[in-house]
Amino acid sequence: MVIYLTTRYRRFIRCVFVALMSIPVSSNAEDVPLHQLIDQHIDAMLVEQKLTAAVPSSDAEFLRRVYLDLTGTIPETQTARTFIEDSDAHKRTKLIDRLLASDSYDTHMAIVADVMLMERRPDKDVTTDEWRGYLAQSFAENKPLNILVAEILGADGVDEKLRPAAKFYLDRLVDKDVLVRDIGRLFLGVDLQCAQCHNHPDIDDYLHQHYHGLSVFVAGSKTFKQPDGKFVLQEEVMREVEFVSVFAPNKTSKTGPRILDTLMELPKVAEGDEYVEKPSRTVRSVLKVSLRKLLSERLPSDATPEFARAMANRLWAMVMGRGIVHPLDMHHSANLPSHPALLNALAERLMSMKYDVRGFLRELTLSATYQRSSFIPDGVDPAKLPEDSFAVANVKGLSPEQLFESLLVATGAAAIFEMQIDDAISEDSKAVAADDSEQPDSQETDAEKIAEARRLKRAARVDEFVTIFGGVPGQPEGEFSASLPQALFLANSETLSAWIPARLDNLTARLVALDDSTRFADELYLGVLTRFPEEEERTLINEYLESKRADRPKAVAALVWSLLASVEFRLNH
Amino acid sequence: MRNDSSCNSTDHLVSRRSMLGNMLAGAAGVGALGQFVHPLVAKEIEAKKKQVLIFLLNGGLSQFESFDPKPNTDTGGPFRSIPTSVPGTHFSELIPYTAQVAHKLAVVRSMFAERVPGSHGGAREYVVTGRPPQQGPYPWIGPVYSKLLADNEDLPGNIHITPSRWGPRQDAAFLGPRHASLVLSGGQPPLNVNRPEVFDKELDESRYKLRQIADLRFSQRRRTAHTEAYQSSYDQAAQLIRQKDLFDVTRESEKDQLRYGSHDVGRHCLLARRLLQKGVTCVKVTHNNYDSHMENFNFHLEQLGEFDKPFATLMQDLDDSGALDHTLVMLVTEFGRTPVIQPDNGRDHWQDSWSVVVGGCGIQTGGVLGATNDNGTEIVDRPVHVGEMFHTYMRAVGLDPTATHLVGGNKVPFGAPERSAVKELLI
Repeated sequence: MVIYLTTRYRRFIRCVFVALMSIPVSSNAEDVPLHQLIDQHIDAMLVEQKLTAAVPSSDAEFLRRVYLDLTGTIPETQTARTFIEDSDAHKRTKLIDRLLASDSYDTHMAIVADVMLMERRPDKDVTTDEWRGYLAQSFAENKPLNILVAEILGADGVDEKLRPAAKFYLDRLVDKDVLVRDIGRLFLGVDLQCAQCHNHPDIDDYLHQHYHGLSVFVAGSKTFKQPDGKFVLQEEVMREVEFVSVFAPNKTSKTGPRILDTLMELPKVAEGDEYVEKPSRTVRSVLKVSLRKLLSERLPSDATPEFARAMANRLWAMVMGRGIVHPLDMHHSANLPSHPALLNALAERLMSMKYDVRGFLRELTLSATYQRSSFIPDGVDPAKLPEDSFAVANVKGLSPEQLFESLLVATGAAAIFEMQIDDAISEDSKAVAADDSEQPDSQETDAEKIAEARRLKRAARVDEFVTIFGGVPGQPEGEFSASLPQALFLANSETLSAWIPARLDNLTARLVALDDSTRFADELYLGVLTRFPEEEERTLINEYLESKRADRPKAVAALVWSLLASVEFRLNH
Repeated sequence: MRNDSSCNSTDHLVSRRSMLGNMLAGAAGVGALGQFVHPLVAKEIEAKKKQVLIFLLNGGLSQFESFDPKPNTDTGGPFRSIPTSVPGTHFSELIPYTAQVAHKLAVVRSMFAERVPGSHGGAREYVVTGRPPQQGPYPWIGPVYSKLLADNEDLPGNIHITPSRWGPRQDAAFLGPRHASLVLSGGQPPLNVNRPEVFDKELDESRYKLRQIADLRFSQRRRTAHTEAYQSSYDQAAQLIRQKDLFDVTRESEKDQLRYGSHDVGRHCLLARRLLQKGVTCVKVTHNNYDSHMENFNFHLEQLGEFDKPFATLMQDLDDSGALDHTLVMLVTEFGRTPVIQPDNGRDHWQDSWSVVVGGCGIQTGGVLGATNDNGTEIVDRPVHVGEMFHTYMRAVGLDPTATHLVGGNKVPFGAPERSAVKELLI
């Protein structure tokens, strides 16, 4: 999008102002744990701007939020009850550590990273299944973020083990312009495509050079079809590109490979001696000096400080609901950070922590800033508490995947869902059997095939949510926004309405069996909203159920639905 | 609201002001609830309310076989041209019915755009957003109208009738999914409009009401922007479930069904008329497929043979009912087709010159704007850029294209700031 500015100047003035005011942040900041440093920076700005911060979150509020942020789902009823009733003073820290060590953290982060890096593009050469498996494994090992990004930027798709990492290039068809734009946006926090349209003549040339400098790294890369039909990357000689400024059409400029302002020296290679394998129709061309390899070594490293800034800002936004620079790919002089010194500190710490994602998220979630309530303080006008003040916990919409998993947990419908999947599989196999009645599969492969079929069926159900609740393919996920098809889906869809009515041991069935009204209300609210009900809510439930004695199971189902479909459930708050 | 003591009524829940007083205290809450309690029948359309009808001929309509025929030239192809209801203006013989309503239309024969990435998709986006797609995503024009013109909260502001198997398109960009097209794939009702079995009618009302109470509680002392949009999506859903017949074209008279024809595009045009009559702000009908790289002439004979009559019938009906005074009608296509005829009788994509038509509200009709040369290889008079048409579509319904959307604190002009409306087309 072309950048239109109104908040820019306000921001700019604020930043200059703040810089002049010398904020009282610890001078020997290196000794302070990052979570305390965060709070010092945020609180200093709140004092500066005379803003009232929200009170600390309740245990219930914190529990639901941190579960969604670190594992992608809400906790089970019993987990919620135990945590809320636990009197251990260190229970929040212990919970954060437990969640960061869980398998759900790995799979959740794999989805977050997939959506961030691939932006829900349709699969091409590497399946989402393989790619997420690779990402989940990386997060399970707590692979440093710079190493993960280096694997992705250096991938050629040949090495079996790292083949999934080549999805970033292959599924973008190794298109130079798409790659330059996305490498800039995702890993450097700058949308160079936009900058090309920038109409400020002083800045224009400068960004032009950035764009073309980055393009040199990927301009020589192409796909190569292997004899087995798989596409991999090959590379041809590319040392510099020429470009023409729109403001000086007669002047041609040149640049070698460049990451923003840093021009890379290329080792001298004699002409005619550049290749390990020369380009031909039958063999994948391989260079002695690969520019993609150079990119993978130089971009995700301390040598490129913009990388740590962009990554720190993205991880911050993931849990805080908004970037310190926002939008996340708009790091530039006219869109300054809300907390410049804090962003510097976060980036420095990410580097000194050797890009340890788990450790970094631990610090963010330990901060009092993260653990604030989302309730606006009494007597404060919400309009006067900007989201970028972090005075109140920002609410986030649940991603399609978070919504799916949370609905499944809340309804207690895991067993029903398994049956839905089995039914779908057996219908498929009936159809197949009718189609071709000959060859029965061997017994050995059956178990594997069934596991595979189950995974695919489950993924198909999640895709249903992605279609309705997800963002535009090829674009970053937008902010939360409600739509009519979403409301219709939650109200009437076959998928969800099978989980709600009393059946097996699901939530409604458990509730119908409970005669005690206090226990009923507790079970309902803990199960769906991860909190105990308030008195008014207990009264409402009792009166409602009294009025619907004729068909209690159905009345309870309607009650369960009303909370599942509430905005409180739909948001991470 | 009556206070029902029988406890059977769902009104009971919201009647207990002592208990729920706090929740209902906010003016917005009461308003929303009031709306909910009184099911609304489709409102009569107020005389001033502007509506928009968009036809998208998907794939790239040939200007030669439609609005800019060049018979007896090297590029003209086999079809003749015929006179229209506007003296001196000729159309291709493939659209005889449209020719009879030519005086209700303005024809632009000099459309052009730069080539943009993404072939059909990119070019289409350029036409319906007025912006090059690589700068996007910008909202499509339907969502823009939904945002700026729709005032009837009970109906979706923007409905898209598509050929079957078209999924929803996320076409609202930064305007948010609330304004995204509600897609009627194959002219069928939207997905999930039928209540699941477990909830009967009475229980259905209960669950919506309980849901709303939960939202009101949540939104106390929280930023309300999220909650209001969320509530309104359920209000719309509840209304839509009650008004399922809105989408039922068989409720139109048999005579009309015959007039429009029983093929898809006929039914879709009649459905569009029905939706406009019920008060939907913007209705778009997509007709597939004009992408005639081979057998261009047979393709157009067949496609326009379907499209011509229902399109003209709808124009006539809108005019007869007086609706054309407040309804903008536009017919767009992503690009035109090459003057050069390929060996297999195909025409390829052509962004250097093509034709569109526009009519109804705010439009100076009965004329032709712009011209191509004798064999249609280049524009010789008044080139009109797609960005200019976007401005024109805004102005025609009284919107200022230089006004701005507010996006995350930044102002984004409705239309591309370097363009302006085509004054010759506006009244």
